Amino acid sequence: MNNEKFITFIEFTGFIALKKSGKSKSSIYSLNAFCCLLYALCFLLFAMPSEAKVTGACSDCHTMHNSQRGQAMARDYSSTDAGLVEDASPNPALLISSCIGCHFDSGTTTIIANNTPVVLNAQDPGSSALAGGNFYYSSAGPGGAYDKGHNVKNISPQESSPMDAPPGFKAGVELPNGGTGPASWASQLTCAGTYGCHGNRGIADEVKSVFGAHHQNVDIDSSSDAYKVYNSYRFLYGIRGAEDIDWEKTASGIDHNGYQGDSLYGSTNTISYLCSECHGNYHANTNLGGSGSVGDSTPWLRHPADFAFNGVRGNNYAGSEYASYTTYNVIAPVAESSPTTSDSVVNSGSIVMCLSCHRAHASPYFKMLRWDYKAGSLGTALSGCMVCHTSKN
Amino acid sequence: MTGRFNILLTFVALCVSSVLFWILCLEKADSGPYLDSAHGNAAYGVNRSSTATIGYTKGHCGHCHEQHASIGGSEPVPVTGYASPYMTFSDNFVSQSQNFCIDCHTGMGSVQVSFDRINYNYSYWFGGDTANHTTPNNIYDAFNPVAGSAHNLQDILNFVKAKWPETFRNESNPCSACHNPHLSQRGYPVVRPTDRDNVWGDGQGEMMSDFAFARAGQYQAPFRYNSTTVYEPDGSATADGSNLPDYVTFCSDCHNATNVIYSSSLGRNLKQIDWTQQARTYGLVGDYHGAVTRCWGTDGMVDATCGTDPANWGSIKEPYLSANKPNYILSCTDCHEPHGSVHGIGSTEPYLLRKTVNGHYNRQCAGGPGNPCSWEQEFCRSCHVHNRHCGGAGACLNCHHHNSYARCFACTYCPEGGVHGHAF
Repeated sequence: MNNEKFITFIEFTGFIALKKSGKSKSSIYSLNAFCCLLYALCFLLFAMPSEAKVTGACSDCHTMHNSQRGQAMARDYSSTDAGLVEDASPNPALLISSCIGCHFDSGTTTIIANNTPVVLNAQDPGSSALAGGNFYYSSAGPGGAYDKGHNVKNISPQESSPMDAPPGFKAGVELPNGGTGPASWASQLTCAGTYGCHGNRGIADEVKSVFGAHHQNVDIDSSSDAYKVYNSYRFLYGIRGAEDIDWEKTASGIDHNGYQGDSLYGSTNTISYLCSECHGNYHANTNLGGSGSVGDSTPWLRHPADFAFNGVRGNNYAGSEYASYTTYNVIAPVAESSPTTSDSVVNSGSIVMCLSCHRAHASPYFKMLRWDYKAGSLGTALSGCMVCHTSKN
Repeated sequence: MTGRFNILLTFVALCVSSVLFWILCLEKADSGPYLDSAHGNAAYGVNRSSTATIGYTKGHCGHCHEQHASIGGSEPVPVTGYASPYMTFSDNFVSQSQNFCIDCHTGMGSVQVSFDRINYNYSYWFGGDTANHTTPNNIYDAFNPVAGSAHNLQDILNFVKAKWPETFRNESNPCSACHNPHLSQRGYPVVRPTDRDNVWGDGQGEMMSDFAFARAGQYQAPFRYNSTTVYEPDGSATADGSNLPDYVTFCSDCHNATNVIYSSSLGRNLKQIDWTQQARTYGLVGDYHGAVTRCWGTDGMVDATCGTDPANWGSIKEPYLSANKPNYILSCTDCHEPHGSVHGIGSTEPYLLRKTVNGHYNRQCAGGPGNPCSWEQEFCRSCHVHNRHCGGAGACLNCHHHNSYARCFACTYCPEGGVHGHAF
C-alpha cells in the first residue's frame, strides 16, 4: 500500500468535497486530521497481519518462462557447490527456487530479503541461527556432520542404514486433521510433503503440500485452529503454537516461540506430535508409540514428551526436582497448553517436549541437541539436562 | 575529589562483583549433588564402554540412561531389544545375579570401561586388610559368594516395596534401598530409604559418636588390620566414631525392633534388633553390643552395677580394654559386611560376618594343641577373651545373637534385668 498516495488522495477528496460545500480552510484541515486518523486505524487493523505474507515483487520468487535474456532464472541449491547454481529446469509453481534455495544465504545472515527466514547458511551462523537451528551443521559442506541434524534431500546425502529411516519410525500413524503417515520410509527426508515436515503431509509433492501458504500466511498464536497450512504453526499442518516474530533470532526468557504441548500426550496438535509423526515410538499418544513403547510416569521407558510437570512423582510436583525450574530457559524450553511468545514462568502446568532437548532442523551439537552433549566438561555436557533435572545440578 | 573517589569506589565494586559472579557461576557449573557423587565424578564416574566410544564424557547421564533406547538408529551395548524402566540400559532388577547395577559392578564382562577404585569389601577398604581380602573384588561377587552369605536382593526389594510404596516399586532396584546412584559418594555411600535426597553420614548428628552419645554410650573404633595404634575406618588415630557414619541408624531403618523381615535365605524372619534399648530387661529387644550397659568390667571382673562375683568371665581385648568406656555401642559394620561375606573355614554362618575384625584376620581358627575352636569362636575372640562358659562350648552364635536372652548368666549377675537378661 502506497501510504503517501493514499493520504494525498484522501486529502484531495476531502478538499474537493469541502470546496464544493463552501466550507472554510479550517474545516478542511479538520477533515484532513480525521482522515489521517482513519488511515491510521486502517493501518493498524489491516497492516499487521499482512507482515506474515510474502511481500515484494512477484519476480522475487517466480519466473514466467525460466528465461531472461537467454539465461535461466531458476536457482537451486547445490550441496556440492554449497551455494545456488543456475538451473535450466523450471520449478513447480513457476518458482525461481526450491525451498532450500529461497531459505538459503551464502553468508551468515539468517533473515534476508522480504523477511525470509534462513535455514541453511553457507557459513556458520553462530548465535544468529533461528529457532529451528541451521542446516549448515548437517550439510555436506565443511561445517556439516550427519549426526547434527536432519539429513534433508539436496542438502546432504542420504545416510546409510539404519539412519536412512527416522529412528522410532511407526508406519501409518494418524496425522493431525486426518489422513495417515507413510506405510514405510521409502525416501530421503524432504522439507515438505509426505516425507517431509512442513505442509500437508497427506500430499506427496513438496510444493503442492504448501500451496498458497506463503501468500496467505498469518502470524499465528495458539488460538489459531491450524486447519490450513497457512494458519498452522510454521506451516506444520495441524500444529498449533505462537510464532515468534523473528523466529528467535533474538531469544530470551520473555521473547521466544510459544510451543504447543499437551499435559498427558493426548492431543495431535502439539509440536511433539509433529516430531512423532515420524518418530512415532518416542511418543506415548495412542496413535503413536503409546505407553507400551514410552511407558508412563510409573515409570517411563523412554524420555517423555507432552507430559506436564504436575504429573511427576505421583502428582507430587512440589516435592520434585522440577519445581526448581521456574523461569523459562531457552536452553531447555517447555511447551504450554496455551503458549505465548512471552511466557516467562515455568510451573506445574509446563510441559516437556521434543524441542526441550532438540532443535528441529540441526544444531552445532550431537543429535541436534540444544547444548553440547559431548562436551569434555561434564558440567557443560549435562547443562541442558540439569535445567529440568535440578536435583542433579 | 569526592566525585573521583565515588567513581573509583564504584569501579572497584563492579570489579569485585564481576569476579564474585564469575566464581559463583563457575562453581555452579562444576559442582552439585550429582556432580559430587561417585557416579557423576568427572575423573572416575560412570563410563560405559559403548557410550564412551560415542564420546560421552565420564559421569555422563547417557552412560546409564538411554532417552530413546537408540543412538544412531540402534541400541548401544548391552543390547536388550527394548526400552527399560527408568530408561536404564538394562532392566533394573531380575535376580541376585542379574541387575542393572551389576552390569558395571562386576568382574569379567563389565560394561564399564575401567574402575579407578576396585570394589573390595569393607574389611579391605575400611578394615585395612589389603592382604586377605583381595577377593571379592567386585559387587557381583560380594553378592554371589561361592560359599558365603549376602543380602538377598529380592528380599530387600520385597521389604522396601511394602514398607515405602511411595518410593519403591516393582521396577525399582534393590540396591537403591541403601544407595542413591545420583548422590552416593565414595566416603558417604549410603542414603536412608526414608530420606532419598541426602547422603547419610556426612553431617552433624549423623556420626557414630553422635549415636552413642545420645544413648549414654561411647563408640570405640576397632583397630585397623595389623595395627594397635590406628583405627577403622580411615587408619587415623581418631577412635571415637566422629569419622564414621552412623550406620546403626541407617541399618535400623530396616533392621529394628518392629519390622518383620523375611529371609528367603534362612527360611524365617530375621531376628529383630534394637540398638537403642538401654534397659536390661528380659523380653525387650536389646543388645549388649548396643545401648544395653554391660554387666561387668572390661577385665571380666565384677562391676559395682551388677553386684559382686569373684568369677572372671573373660576380659575384652584392646583397644576396648584400655579405653575402658562404661558402655560400648558398636557399629553394625564393626562385625558385618554390608554386601556379602565369604564363609569362615569350617563355618556356614549366614550372617555376613566380617573375616577381619578389630585388626584380626579370623577366617579360620588358629587350631593346634589345646586350641580346639570353631571359626565362630575365633570371630568372637577378635574382641573377647573367653574364660568361662555356663553352657557347652558349642557354636557361639547358637546362643549369642541379636535379640537373644539366655538364662545362665542373667539370673545371678544381672538382677536388674530380672530372671533373664541378654546374651549378646
